[in-house]
Amino acid sequence: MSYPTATRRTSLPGSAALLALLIGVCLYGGIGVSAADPLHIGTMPLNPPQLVQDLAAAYVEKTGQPLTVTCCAGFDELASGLKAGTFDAVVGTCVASGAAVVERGLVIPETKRIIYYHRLAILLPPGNARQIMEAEDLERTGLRIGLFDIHTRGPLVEKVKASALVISKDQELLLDLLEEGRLDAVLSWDCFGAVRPHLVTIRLPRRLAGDGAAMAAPCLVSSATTRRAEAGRFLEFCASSEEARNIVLGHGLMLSDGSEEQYHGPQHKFLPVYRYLAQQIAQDYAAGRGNCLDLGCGEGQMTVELAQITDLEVTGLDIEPEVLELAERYAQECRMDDSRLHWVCADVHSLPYPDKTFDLIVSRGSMPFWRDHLQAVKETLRVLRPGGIAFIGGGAGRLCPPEIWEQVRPGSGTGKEVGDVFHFPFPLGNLDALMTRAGVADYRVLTEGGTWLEIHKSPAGLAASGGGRE
Amino acid sequence: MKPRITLTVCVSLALAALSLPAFAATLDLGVPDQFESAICDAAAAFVEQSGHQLRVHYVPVPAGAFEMAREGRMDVIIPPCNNSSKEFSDKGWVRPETGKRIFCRRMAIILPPKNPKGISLLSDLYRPDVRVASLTVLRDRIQKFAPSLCRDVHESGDIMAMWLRDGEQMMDLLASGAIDAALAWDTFAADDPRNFVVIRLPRSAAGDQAVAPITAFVTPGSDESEVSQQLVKFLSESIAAQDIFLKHGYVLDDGSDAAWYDKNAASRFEPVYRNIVQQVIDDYGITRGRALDIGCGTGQMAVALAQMTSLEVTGVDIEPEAIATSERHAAEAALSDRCHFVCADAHSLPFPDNHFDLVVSRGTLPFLRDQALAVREVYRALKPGGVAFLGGGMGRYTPEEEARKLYPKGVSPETALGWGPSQTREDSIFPFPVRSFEVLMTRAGIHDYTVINEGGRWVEIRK
Repeated sequence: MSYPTATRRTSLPGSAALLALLIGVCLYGGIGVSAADPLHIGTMPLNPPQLVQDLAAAYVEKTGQPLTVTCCAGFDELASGLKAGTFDAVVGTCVASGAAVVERGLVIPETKRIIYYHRLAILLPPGNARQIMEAEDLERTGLRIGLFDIHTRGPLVEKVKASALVISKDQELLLDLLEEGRLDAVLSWDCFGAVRPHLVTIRLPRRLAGDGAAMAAPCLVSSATTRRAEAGRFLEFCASSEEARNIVLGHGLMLSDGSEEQYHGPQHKFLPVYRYLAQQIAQDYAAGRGNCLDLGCGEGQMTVELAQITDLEVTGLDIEPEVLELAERYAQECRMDDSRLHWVCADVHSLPYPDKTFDLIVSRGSMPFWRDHLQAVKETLRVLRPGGIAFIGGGAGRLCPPEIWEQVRPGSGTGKEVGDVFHFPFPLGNLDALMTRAGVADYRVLTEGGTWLEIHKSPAGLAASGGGRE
Repeated sequence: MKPRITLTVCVSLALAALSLPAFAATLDLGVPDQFESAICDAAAAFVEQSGHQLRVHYVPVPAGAFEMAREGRMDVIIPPCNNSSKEFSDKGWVRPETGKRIFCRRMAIILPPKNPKGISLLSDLYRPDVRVASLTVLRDRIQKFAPSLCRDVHESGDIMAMWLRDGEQMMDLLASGAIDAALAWDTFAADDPRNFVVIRLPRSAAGDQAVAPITAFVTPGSDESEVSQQLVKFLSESIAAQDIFLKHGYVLDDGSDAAWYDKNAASRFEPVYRNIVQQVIDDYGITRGRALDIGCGTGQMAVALAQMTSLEVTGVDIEPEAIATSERHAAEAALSDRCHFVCADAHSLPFPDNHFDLVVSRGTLPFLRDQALAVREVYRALKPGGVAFLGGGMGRYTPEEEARKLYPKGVSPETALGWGPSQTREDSIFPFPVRSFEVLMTRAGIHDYTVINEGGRWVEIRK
């Protein structure tokens, strides 16, 4: 097959056509028209449907190298495509199928690159009415659980296998059953949560899920291709470029398999900052008892501090299962393993709580990692009680002496701003515009000690701000 | 109202600081909850551009709007439709001179994806196999152009299956298959991710009830009336706001431009359409079967295609008045039996899979908000072995000199789809310029295509 991009027919009138062609090539040579034949890329249906096409389109835009993407129905089609030389490369398969095609000599193993990791996860309906927050909750009696049966393994999977209502290799069927309310939870890969982003996704740590906790989505070059170098360049782009990383994160996928998380203790140099900030929150918002959520709690220093200095019931929420294990360990070290402290591994874009659950929601330094600020703010408002407050932002807060912040902040001593030395995948835009976009009426942007949003959810009634159509 | 000049906004972000005005005002904007995301998006663009702050208040329709207005809490309010507009102007609210309509709501038939019952006209709603629903608030309006749809439920043979109070419930019933069609404003489907088919009704079918322009009012005696006027001007006139409304699937036009276009521009392009049709015939040899013209405008290319081939031709356009004009042109050419026109959106075509032998489209792509979705829809509706020829320009058979004269100001063969090397959105007459077919086809997942940079910018897709 060839895909000539220039004029290919006898043209009428010829000179005009030639002129148009020349102009066309001159104008669009950089971004579109290229004499190259397309590289053929195969992929698997376990990826979110647009992911590989988006990666490919970004590469075409950047380099002008045409690409075709074919989503194979299953592993056999992928293998036969590789054998027949239909594909020059494969993007976003999984480790197991990757290993199988390597064994059969269909790919060149040393070019293997990882674009993201699938994590074992519990998928739940929006709002998570059954309040399933961790693996142990799956042991509750009477739960109707579905298990996805391709490459899921490890001790938890074995346990669930014994009690699951449905075990299937058809993820669409499982997710349909979940959405129809015929299943309460599905144990599967988080990538299927990314395919249906309204579902709640609780990712599981390696400790509980065993080696089955993480599955790499590798890129492989076909051993039959004559265009190894070109294919390698595209895979390099998918696995290493900042554009590709942001596309992958934008689809709600994880770049980490959790293996590099090692416990060095909490970053003690930040502890004073979190303490001052917790004090500020306690002074300004935390009168009496109540239910508090810390979004993107990381190693949990602020979460623990808030539980220590207030009477609040505090939940720390983070998307990384391994980081939450560090938080739990830190809480134990602080002798704060009491019933007022909880840890949940979930995504801020689909919070695992019913509407109107929290009196106070706090978050420090997490927002520039959220792929869709608007959706996250909407979720925050949804789970906030009428009359509740959200305090979200970055920096050290009002009470922290500037010299302490200056000592510990990223880029201190370099004269550079935090954003210059630290890669934030989704930098904050204009917060006033974000609030307008979210339809929030009652908010303040505070700029003392960083940049902070203070959102008040108005008591129920007419013109309830931000709650949308309640 | 006391002045509310905030200092916090001035230092909130370095980014905003670049465009800050001398002072930053805080406005209260009342928005009917059914338009929430589109108007909030446009208002947010105003915040980004102007540095002023906006507090958006949802107004449940129809109850809350007047309450809030009476309390004097809003600086700017967007009433849900004309009826309430009158009430506002009676109370002394000002509709700024600059504030033309923000967008237009059109009365429409809303259908499930792919239009399983093959509905394209108001008269199809009377079919016995079609269960129709609408909203109680629209009953008086529908009564005026379709009185027999509104007969009392107890009368024998009533046509309307149900009258509902809740728009969201109506859309859910449609999605679940409990009803086959909804007769309501097109805005109910605009932001819905379920990709409903929307058949907008022209004035010729629904009369004055077909259109409801949405406007904005400024409160009498607002302290921020200058900024309020600026906001209304932005929402109703700026390119940025118009792009946002189009992106949400709203229609800006009330149809009054269609007659002008028909009279002043249409005839000049007659030979161009014939040339393009000839080119398509010569290149693809498809002269029998079914053809589709996407964004058919006044219907000239569709009529030319029917004249020059034996094809059964369907034209779709999002503007209901363009459909009325196309039908007239087909009737004048005595081709009404082989030329059909449906008012539909290219993003959710009202046709089954594998339906057309040929799909053509000239000059429509840069008006489409999600070109990858639209191209996937074309591919879906195309028969295996069929060809789609999409793009913009005057075609290979139109002599270069003549072609150059026909392009609108600022457009040339090289920028026929709105994108040139030095162009920005502001220089382009199109809301969504097409930058690269290669990127678009990769994003849409289409492999078998050929880019043709001759006589404009075109892409040929084979299924």
